[in-house]
Amino acid sequence: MIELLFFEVLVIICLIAAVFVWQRPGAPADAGAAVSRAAAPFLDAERDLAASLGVPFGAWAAIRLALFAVALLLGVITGVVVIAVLLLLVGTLGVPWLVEDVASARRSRAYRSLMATVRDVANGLQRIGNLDAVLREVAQHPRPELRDLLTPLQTALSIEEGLLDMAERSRSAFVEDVCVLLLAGRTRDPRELVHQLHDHVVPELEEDIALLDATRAAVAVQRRSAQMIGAVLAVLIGAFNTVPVLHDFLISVQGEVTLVIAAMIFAGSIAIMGALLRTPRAARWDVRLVRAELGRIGRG
Amino acid sequence: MADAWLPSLLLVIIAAVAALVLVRNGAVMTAETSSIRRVRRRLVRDQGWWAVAVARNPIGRALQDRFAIRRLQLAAGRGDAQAFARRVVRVAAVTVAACSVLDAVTGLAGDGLMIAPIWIPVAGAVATALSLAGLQREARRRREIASLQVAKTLLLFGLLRVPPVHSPDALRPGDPLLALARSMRDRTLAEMLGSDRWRQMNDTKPRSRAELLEAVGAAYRLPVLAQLAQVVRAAQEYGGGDPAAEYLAAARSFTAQRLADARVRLGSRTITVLVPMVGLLAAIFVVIFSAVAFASANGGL
Repeated sequence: MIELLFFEVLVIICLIAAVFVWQRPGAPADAGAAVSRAAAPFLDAERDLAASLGVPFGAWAAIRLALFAVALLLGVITGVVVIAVLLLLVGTLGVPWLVEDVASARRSRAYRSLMATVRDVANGLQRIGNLDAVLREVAQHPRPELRDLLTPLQTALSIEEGLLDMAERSRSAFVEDVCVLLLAGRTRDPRELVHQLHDHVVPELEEDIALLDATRAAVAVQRRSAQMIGAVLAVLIGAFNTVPVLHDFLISVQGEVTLVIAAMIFAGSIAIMGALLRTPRAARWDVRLVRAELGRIGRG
Repeated sequence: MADAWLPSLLLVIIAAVAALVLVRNGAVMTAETSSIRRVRRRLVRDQGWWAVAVARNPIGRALQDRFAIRRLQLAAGRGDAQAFARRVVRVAAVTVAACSVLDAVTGLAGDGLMIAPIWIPVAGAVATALSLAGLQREARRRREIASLQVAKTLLLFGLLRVPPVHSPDALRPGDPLLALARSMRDRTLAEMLGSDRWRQMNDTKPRSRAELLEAVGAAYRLPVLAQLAQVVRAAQEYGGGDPAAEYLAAARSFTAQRLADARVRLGSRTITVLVPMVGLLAAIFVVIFSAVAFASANGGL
């Protein structure tokens, strides 16, 4: 009975949303475009996360849909509406929070490999004296973490295009910085560039990584603790659901209100922790615009 | 009637204080009048003792900056101080009106007043305070973003060996600093540098590129621009060492400073962050105690 009711509510909400979006007076023609515009930031965030996890976006979308289906199935099996709704929220909005540590650890490893590669570039530049040739050479034998990232440098017609593709493919502020610095470096005297890379650019970028790692470590500790407590809470509620009297409690009004309050306390605590450990978002280049500006500035 | 005097008095006091603060900050003056008053103040030098005391005291200066509406509006990119005055009046009026309507409806329905009259002006005052807090938050956010964006350009000035600005008169689209700011995905720095609104806070005419950067930095309260100005002065106007090395060193110094700040901030919050952790545990206890209470009331497990 409860499953049927839950499905009916879900279907009605979806229908209302569809009718609201498509039948809005005055804007029927632009409805699709408006939805695309509104969805763009979410899709961008998902693409960033997929790139950080090293998963193609199509596969990531399939994983998200599968998680949604599993959450829906588990929710229906429990027979408790509030638990079903909470599981759906965890299976959709909660996924980025759950996998962020894995993504940031992977990003950090890739950044360190990229720094080692920049050091290789500086050494190669000292030997060969041509940045484009050195970049091609380095891209031929990439470190395992950078295999996908450096592919454009192997395949692009020009190194400039390769760096632009690499920056766009990375979806990362740090990699974009490195690409912009290499684009700027292409216009400089190689010998001078070697000194600048060794003495200033590499140490500066290493400090950037240290800053990212310091923040990541602090956030990861708190997030891991919250995930453990969340898992304990989930097991507890699951165990309650197997005991008849406690199942009655969970499907009663009192039980549902309790679950909602517990969920709000949990989500509120995580939000406060996030606010306390908040770090400003990295400034990001529009790499193609920078390329154009670098040309103008260099000429000026 | 007897109940009405206290909220009325409170409302009048709040309105008087708000009006005084807004008038003192030039919120009800036109930009021209405000500019004339600033020039007069600078020429006549008749600052009150309190202004001198505030200017000498770092805490006083910090507090003054925190409530300087004109500067906050400028940094937040929200227009002039009059816009803030209009917004505050609108927010307070809507809050008071909504509370009054709610009371009128519940009163007419015979359920008594939902919100005691004393709380209506308090709600108005809270809404006003929240508007100010929102403005401060937005200004802080944009300053952080702009600082990071300026810092990002330092390495490029070093690599390209170009000065950030070409002329002391104004920032122009051809200036490398503005051109690079426009190449960022976030337009905060480009908006700040691309307009001449910073002159609202500063009447002096910069005589050098370093002074121009200092003036812009002072108007928006962006210390990193003052740092950049120092580098420009050292590298180009005093004819000091290698300009590229100066810019690259400034970039490293900024990052090192950020790293140190982050370590201090994260260290100081190691304990604070335990408070919300208690909230996570509280969620478990809420579920357990409620379930036990329900089971006890229904014949036990």
